[in-house]
Amino acid sequence: MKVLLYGAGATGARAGRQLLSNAAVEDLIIVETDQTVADNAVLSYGSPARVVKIPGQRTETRLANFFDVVDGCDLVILSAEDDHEAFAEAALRSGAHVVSTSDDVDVVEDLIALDSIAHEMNKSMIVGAAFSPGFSCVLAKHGVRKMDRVDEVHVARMGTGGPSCARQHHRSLRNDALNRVDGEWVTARGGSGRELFWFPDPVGGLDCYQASLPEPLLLHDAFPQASRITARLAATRRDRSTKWLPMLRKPHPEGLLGAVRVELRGTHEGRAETRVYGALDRPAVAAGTVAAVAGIWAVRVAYARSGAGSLGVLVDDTAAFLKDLSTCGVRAAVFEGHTSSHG
Amino acid sequence: MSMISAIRRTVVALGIASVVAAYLRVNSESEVPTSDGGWRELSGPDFD
Repeated sequence: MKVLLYGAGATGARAGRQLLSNAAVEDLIIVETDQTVADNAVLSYGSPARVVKIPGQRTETRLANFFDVVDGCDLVILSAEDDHEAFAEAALRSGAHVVSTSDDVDVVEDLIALDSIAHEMNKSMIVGAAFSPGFSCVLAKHGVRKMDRVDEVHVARMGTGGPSCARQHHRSLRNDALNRVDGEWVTARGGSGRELFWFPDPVGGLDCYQASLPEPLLLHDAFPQASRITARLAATRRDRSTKWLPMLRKPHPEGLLGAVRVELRGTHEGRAETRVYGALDRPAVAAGTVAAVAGIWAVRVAYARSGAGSLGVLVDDTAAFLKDLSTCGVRAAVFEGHTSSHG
Repeated sequence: MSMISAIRRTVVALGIASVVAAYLRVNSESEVPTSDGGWRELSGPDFD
């Protein structure tokens, strides 16, 4: 298997490491704008990883050079901050499966629009394959499969991976949130709508806010029957008060602990049912692992269908996917017991 | 009403509001929603 890893930052580096632990990976091409980061990744991985430069300042120039590099690749993992739409289309047209870790709403919309190209090429375009979205979508699908009907899906997350993720977290609070409410798309001001959510221990209860997150979009494709789909982001008072400003200080190289929580409401055997799933991990580690497993599944043709979509749409055997993640150290949990207003 | 008087009244009103808000913030009791139960790692039968 020949794999191209575009972006070897906090998440990409973890994805590369997970891929190399799979014996089927015979060639790992790392494309990274920061030469030091690229060299460190190759030094850390050893053979068969290698660095390839894609020169050019303009997207068009980089794209032309990307076509030469992606030729013959089975899988492309996009974990850089930019270029997802253009490079994903180029990779699909060259005959590779594509995994994107982006959680930018505009990027996610553009990638889903590549569905017809992915179908035409009989390839998978996995959108939002990270911790949240990504792992959150698989958990939602896994829970929904144990219910007769799902009416509501509510996702919350805390923590950030690398610097790109921290910048996206900042932008998410500044931009409007898009939620599914009573079967309609409704926007809400980023940073508003505080709700207390309980994450797996030791994170516990945190205030979460409306933010521009792609989960409602991705989960609506997976569960069109759900009338309410929301996503919230844990944030501090400083996060919210400085959301209008540029980031006041440089993001940390990598965030610490992160968590995701998925609450499902619906019916099962004629009774109202609420299921709550969660996970706790370093977001970059979990995101990289999800991206790697998603890519390996694509090459194994293990998805329900070809085309573009989230893991909630493409993964049919959620138990097997969660088992694969668990083997790689990314584990999920379920909340058991009586819940208060927000479990 | 002179400008100075208006400013003085505004400052006094804001001051009183701040004191009341601070008193309520410190002394009011907010009930933290309780959760009865716990998290369990998915395993075995959960993957069926």
